[in-house]
Amino acid sequence: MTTLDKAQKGQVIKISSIDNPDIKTQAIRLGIGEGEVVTCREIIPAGPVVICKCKQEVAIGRQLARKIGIEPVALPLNKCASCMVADAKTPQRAQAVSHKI
Amino acid sequence: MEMNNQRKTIALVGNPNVGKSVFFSALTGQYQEVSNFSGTTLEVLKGHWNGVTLIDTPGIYGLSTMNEEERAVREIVLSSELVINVVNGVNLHSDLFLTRQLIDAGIPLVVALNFADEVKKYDLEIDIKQLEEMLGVPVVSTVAVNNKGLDTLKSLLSDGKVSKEGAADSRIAQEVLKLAQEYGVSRAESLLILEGDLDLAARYGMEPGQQRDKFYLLRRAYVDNIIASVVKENHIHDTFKVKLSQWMLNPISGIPILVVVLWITYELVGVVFAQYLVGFTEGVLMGEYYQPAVRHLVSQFISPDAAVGILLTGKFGLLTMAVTYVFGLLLPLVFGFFLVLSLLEDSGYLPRIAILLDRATGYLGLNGQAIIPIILGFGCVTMASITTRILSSRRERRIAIFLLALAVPCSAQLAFITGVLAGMGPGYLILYIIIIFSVLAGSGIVLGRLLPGTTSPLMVDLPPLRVPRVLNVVTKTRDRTIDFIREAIPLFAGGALLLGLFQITGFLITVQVAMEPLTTGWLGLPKESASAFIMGFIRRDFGTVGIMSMPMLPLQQFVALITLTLFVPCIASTMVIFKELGWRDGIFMWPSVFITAFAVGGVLNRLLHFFQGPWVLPFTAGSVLLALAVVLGLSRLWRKDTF
Repeated sequence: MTTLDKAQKGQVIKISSIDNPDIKTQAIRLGIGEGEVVTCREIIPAGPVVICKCKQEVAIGRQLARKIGIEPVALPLNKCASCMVADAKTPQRAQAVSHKI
Repeated sequence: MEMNNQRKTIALVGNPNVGKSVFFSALTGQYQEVSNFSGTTLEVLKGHWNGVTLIDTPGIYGLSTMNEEERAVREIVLSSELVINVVNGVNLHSDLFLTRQLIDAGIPLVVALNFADEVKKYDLEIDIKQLEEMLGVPVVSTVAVNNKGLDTLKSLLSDGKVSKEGAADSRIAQEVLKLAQEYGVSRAESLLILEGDLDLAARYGMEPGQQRDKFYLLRRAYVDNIIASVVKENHIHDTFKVKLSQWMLNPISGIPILVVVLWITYELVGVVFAQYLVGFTEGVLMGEYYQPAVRHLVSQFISPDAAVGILLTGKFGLLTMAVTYVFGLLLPLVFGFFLVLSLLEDSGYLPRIAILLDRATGYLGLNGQAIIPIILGFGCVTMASITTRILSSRRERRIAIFLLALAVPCSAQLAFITGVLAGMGPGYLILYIIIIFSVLAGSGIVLGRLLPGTTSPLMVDLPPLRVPRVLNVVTKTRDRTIDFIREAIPLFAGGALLLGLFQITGFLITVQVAMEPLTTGWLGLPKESASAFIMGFIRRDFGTVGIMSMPMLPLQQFVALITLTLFVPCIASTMVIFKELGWRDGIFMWPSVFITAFAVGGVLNRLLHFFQGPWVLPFTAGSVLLALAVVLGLSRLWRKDTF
């Protein structure tokens, strides 16, 4: 399993695990909890990772990012993938052209 | 809902940056009282509208006990008859979570769907009818800054059509109602206890529930379902603001942008307000007109040399120094500072700076946001200490205020320091910068290690960039300034009274004599320099001028400059520190700064003598940097496990 600090800019990812119970709760509130699909928006060198869920951007400190497990998701890049949560579950969308991760 | 009989309370609740305060001032009209909320140090705004008490609350993402804000909002919500839940139409994903939690808690609610203009700009379509149906509460579409939709909201509130509780999630409601009946608590309390609220559970002598994860996930699914049915997204486009945001975050473009913003800030606050405007208000208005006038007036009744005369119009007089400091110095500074802060806040740039610098300031045990007060400190330490309010935890505020009090020279002092250093040559200038920077970094590292707790893990929601609205910025600046000055007046009056008493009793001279061994013995300075330090406490630049006017060797002058830079903050800053952190921290911080300043000065005095000769400056600089490296190395060796 890879972690959020190793994500790449523009990559679409699924949050698979969050280590810290308080952060996990807060993440559910923000809509970036376990199981959510988000886009990695920006990676500040040695600094925080910015992920995007719909129009909302959330910055996550590097230390914290190391403790958040992720899985790559294949989705078209030109869309903010995280806005398609409902769609992402449908097989049609899942088969859409994947981009190289 | 009946609103006539007794005073009902309505709370404005929502995520951060959704415009609650705009609703608050639009409804209540004008500046309202600020009150501390019981049990917390948080300030909440209370106002009146149509016979109802309206409370503005700090932004939260959910109702629980994750931080002080949440606790305060919980208490307010529990004691309110109705909640106006302000949500950002663009961020329904996170905002509706709180809405659903309030509905599950059975709290009567009206939802203000704010930023309707931005929703349009983003090409989103929100089916409000459908949303109302799924939530079970009224939803009003608004653009609060333009006053749009507020009339609809007002008439809804006065019609009494909003007494309805929303459509709670039946799976959650079942357990909530059962517990509520069993223990005789309200639905809201029952929900929060089931979600593991320790405070509430203890209040009723109950066991906190274990249902937080389960309820949260159910709620999340509910929100996702709502969004899938009510939000239609037409297409996505990268707007200029999205690009600008990316430039701000990427270090290659972000650091130059930050430098420009900080430079403009410094020019505005540090130069325009702290020098030109204060020069006029303090020097001309107060110094040339007010003070002579008040002295003359008082001398008609009381002799200026009598004890009461000294207390009223002496050097530290209640009517002279205290009034001058509050209205001549503090008022323009605080106004300038709150103006910049409100602009930065409303534009959404602040959290982006925090992200850009999070790594670098992490070494100091500080959040990236701490860089803002530090930079403002070069304008005025007093005002910058207030800026630390933007920092998330008390631990971080303590570190930032300590660093400000210790190692950041204000603009007034800086002007004289550069004057002295310019006469000594570039070598001393570089050594000065190296020493001050090392003290700043070193003490930050040490404090970061020593203070309990760790740097809170960074997980911040980035608000979209927005062009600040002039009216909103002006209102905010005015209200905050009035509030600050109102609180500062008794502190300054008390301080002036104390200094006046010292002067009358001759205690000031005693201090001067008592300090001599320290100044001559330890720092190697002429004994007259003691008075410069006392002057430096009154105003930092006075102390520096005092040093300039004394005959001294260059090395002595340099030691004096460093010590004075680090030396205790001026009266104004000291009082603000006490005001911002409380007496306990203030009493600890003041001597710590004092000791550090003299320790560094004394060691520097010895280093300079030890390395005497042509290589004195590089050797001294080398030893200072070596010491910093050792401190950094040791702190990393014993690094706390963050989180």
